[in-house]
Amino acid sequence: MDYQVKVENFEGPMDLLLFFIQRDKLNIYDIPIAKITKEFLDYMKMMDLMNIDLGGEFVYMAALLMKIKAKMLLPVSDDEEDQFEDPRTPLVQRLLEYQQFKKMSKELQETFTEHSFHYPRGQEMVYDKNTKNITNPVQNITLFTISTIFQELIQRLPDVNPYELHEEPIHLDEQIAFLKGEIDSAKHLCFSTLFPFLKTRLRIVVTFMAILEMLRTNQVSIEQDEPFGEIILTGAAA
Amino acid sequence: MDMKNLVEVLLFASPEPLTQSRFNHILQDENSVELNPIIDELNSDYEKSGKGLKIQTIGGGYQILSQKEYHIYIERLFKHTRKLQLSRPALEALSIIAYRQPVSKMEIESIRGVECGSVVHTLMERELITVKGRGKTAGRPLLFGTTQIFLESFGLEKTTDLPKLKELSELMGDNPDPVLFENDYAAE
Repeated sequence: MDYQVKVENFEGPMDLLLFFIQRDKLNIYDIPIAKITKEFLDYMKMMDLMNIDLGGEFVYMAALLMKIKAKMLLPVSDDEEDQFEDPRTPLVQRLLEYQQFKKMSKELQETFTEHSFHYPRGQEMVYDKNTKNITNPVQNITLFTISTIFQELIQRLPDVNPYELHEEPIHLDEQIAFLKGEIDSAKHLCFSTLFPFLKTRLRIVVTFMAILEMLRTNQVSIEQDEPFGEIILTGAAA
Repeated sequence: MDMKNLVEVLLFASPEPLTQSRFNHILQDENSVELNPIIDELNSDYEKSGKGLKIQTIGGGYQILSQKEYHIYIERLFKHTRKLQLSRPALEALSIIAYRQPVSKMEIESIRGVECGSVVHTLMERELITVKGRGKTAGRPLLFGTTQIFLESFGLEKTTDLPKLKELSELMGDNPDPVLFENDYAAE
C-alpha cells in the first residue's frame, strides 16, 4: 500500500550539509564538493525510498551543489587566476551564517533557562494536588520508530474485499409484460400481492409506473376504494 | 515618605517590570525621582543582608526576582517549571529575528534554507515577535522584530544585551572559532 510520511528530520538542506561536515570532520573552508554532493543525493534517494517528501528546498540545494561541482571542473587559465572566485564561497558563507544562528539559538535557549530560575511575581498557583509532572510524550521517539510502527499498522489492517454493486436494469416494458401476464392469469390483481416478487424499491416504482402507463394506454383499469387503499387491477378487455 | 520603601513596595506589587515613566506617573505631581540609584541602593541592601531577592533591569524597567538557588522550592510551590515551549525551527527563526531585526520572512528563510511561514506565525502568536514595519525592497515585505514579552521572557534589558554575535568576516578569517563546530549533533 502506498502511504506518505512527512517528517522534518533535518531542518532543511543547510542543516543536512552541516551534519555531513561535522560528522566527517570536513574543513568547511575546503569542502570536498563531489563527496558531499554524492552524500546529499544518497540521502535524498533514501528519503525517497521511504516515501518521505523532502520538499523543493532539497531539490534546489542538490542542483546548487551540482552546479558548483561542474564549475569546479572547469579549468582556470593563469591570467584569470587572480580574480578567480571559488565557486564554493557563497555556499560556505551561507553555511557559516546558518551555523552561527544555530549556535545563537542554543545560547538564546540557555539565556532563557538561566532566567527561568529567577521567578518574578505573579506566578499562577496550581491547587490541584494530582497534577503530575508532564513529560514530553514523544521523547526518545525517532522517525524510524514512527515509520516502523506505521508500517506494522498498515500491514495489520484487514484486507478490504472490493466488490462492486451493479444496478439491476429494470425496464418499463418488462414490467408491463409482467403485469399483463399476471392479470391474464388472475383477472383481478391486487398491487400488494406483487410485492413479494418486487424485491427492490426501484422495481416497485417501475412496476407502479408500468401500471400508470397501462392505464394511459387503456390496457388496464384500476380501482382504489380509499386513499392509500389497495389498488386492484383489472384487464381492460374484461 | 521613604522613597526606598515606596519603590520596594511597587516592585513587590508589580508582576511586570516597573519603568521610569510608570513610576513618574505613580508619583503624579511630586518631583520626579530617578529610579536607578534607588534600585542600586535596594540591591546592595539585599546583598548585604543576604536576601533571597534581587532587582533586575528587564525590558527597560525593573523587576524583583527570586535568587536562583531557591527556584526548586518555588517550582514545588507552583508545581510547575518555566520551560521554553519552542521547537528548534522556531528558536532558530527567533534568534535570527532577534539579531537581525527588523527582518523580513524572506531573509529568515534565506538563512535557514527552508520555508518559515508557520514558525513566524507561532512566534507571532506567542507574542515574542511583532511586525515592525515594511521593507523598502520589492513587494514591501513585512519586517519582524522582537517584543517586550521577548525581553521579559529572556530576562534581557534590551535587545543589544543578547549574547554577542561574531561577525562573519571574523569567522571567515584564518582561525575559525573551533567552538563553532563542536559536535552538537551528538545528542540527536
